[in-house]
Amino acid sequence: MRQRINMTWSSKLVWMVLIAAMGCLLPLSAWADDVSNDPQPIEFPHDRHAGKFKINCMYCHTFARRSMVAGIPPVAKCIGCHQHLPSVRDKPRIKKLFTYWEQKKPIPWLKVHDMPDFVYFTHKRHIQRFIFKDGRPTQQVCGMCHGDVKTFSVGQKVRAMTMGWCLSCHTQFQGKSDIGKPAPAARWMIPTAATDKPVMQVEFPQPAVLDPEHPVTMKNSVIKKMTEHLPAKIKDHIVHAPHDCWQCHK
Amino acid sequence: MALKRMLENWSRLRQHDYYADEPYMWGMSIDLNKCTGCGACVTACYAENNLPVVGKEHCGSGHSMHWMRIERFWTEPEDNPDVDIEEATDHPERGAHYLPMMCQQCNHAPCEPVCPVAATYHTPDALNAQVYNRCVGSRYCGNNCPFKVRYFNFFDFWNELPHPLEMQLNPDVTVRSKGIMEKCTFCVQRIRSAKDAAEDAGHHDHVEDGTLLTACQQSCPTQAIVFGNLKDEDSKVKRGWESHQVELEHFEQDKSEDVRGYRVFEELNVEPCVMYLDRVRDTEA
Repeated sequence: MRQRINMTWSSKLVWMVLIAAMGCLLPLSAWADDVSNDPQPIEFPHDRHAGKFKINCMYCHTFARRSMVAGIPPVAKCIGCHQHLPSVRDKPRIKKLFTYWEQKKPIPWLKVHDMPDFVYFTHKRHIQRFIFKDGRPTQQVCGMCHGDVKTFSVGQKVRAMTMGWCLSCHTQFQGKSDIGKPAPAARWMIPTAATDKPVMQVEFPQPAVLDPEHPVTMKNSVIKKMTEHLPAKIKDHIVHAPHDCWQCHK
Repeated sequence: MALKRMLENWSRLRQHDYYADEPYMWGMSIDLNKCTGCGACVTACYAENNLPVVGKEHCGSGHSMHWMRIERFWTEPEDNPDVDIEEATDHPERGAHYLPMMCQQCNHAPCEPVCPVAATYHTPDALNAQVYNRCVGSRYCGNNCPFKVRYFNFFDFWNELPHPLEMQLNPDVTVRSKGIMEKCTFCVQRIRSAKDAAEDAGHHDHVEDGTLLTACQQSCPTQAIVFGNLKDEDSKVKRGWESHQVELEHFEQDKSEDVRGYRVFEELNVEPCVMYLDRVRDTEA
């Protein structure tokens, strides 16, 4: 005979509280999915470098303007400045830095923004557009995705960096230069193109191929037709959003 | 309902001028006269696209992962008066005929309408895209492909890679995991970076012919493979298609005797973007 589990109200309450607590913790762990919680080998103070001394982001992350990846500076770059800065030489972090230099070893930084393999994101296009073409301040442009780095110590992932988050710029705002202006091609992109709702409100995005009203991809002529009545000033600032999965996934 | 919508969508996508005003249509031409069957293109494809080498046993079970393969045909001894049938072996002295076969990037691709999740679709630059993160591994596309050039990841082949070897992987290409379909992409990562470079140089919507090479084309010692933009009147591949009188939208090419161009399975009307130039043999020698 099976013994009946005798559950008192108090034990039920304990279980309910436990389950509720786990429910609260779940989204947090999902947020931090690909970021390691291990400490960085050196607690690099971005707030000193980018905040106090206002060093340009691209002085260290050299490749951002000409490559897909922004790049982590080699130890030689750190030493290049720090060998001329005897005032901080005895700080523990700098001592650790010089140990790596003397051992001729790279610093094993942990990756903070680690996109999945199938995501194609290029820093170059964004930097070329917003910094060099629009002439915005570097920290503002980098901050669009990386947060207010000049207040950080070690790098943190402050944006969700999901596809919907990318689209939230590419479909709606068309870059900040168009904020407040009519979004001309709000449905350039799939699969959210299958509905009229803004991307974040689409609960179950359907593959656009199943929707006869919206072709899989939008023709250039259609885009031209949708945008031709706009004044040239706005047209020049329209982000040429990819309207094709394979622009960003491969 | 869903079927009705799919058919409507399908018929609209098959309008031949649907992408007429797009600046690109990537195409290829392969000269079988020049092909020696050396397999350099296959090797290059393995290196470029992070393909796992699965080994003999897996190949025997149909798990092979070569996006590009060299198909080998022997001239049958009975058709060849020079070879005595009695002496014929499995590897006759001459008569081998090689044909590199990869995804033909069909314009009317049979794989596309059968995908339940729209993981494979046609891009505006006439590529037959395969979106790995959307694929659920139903394998309908592979079964519907007349060329059998879609390969399914039955295993996580990269898991057993000994340590330093993962450094050889191409960072621009996804390392595919178990349960998804993959196929030749016409080196889409190279296409994207070439377009990126063209954008930097100030040519919007124009990649100069010859600046973009696929991995197989780059490694071909006899330069049998030509890749380029079919919408560009001056590109080498377009001129090749024209001089061999191969046209899109024609499943029976109406042409003179002395040109060699053809597309594989043209009669199926799948509109491949790859043209082959037939091999000419001297039967007297």
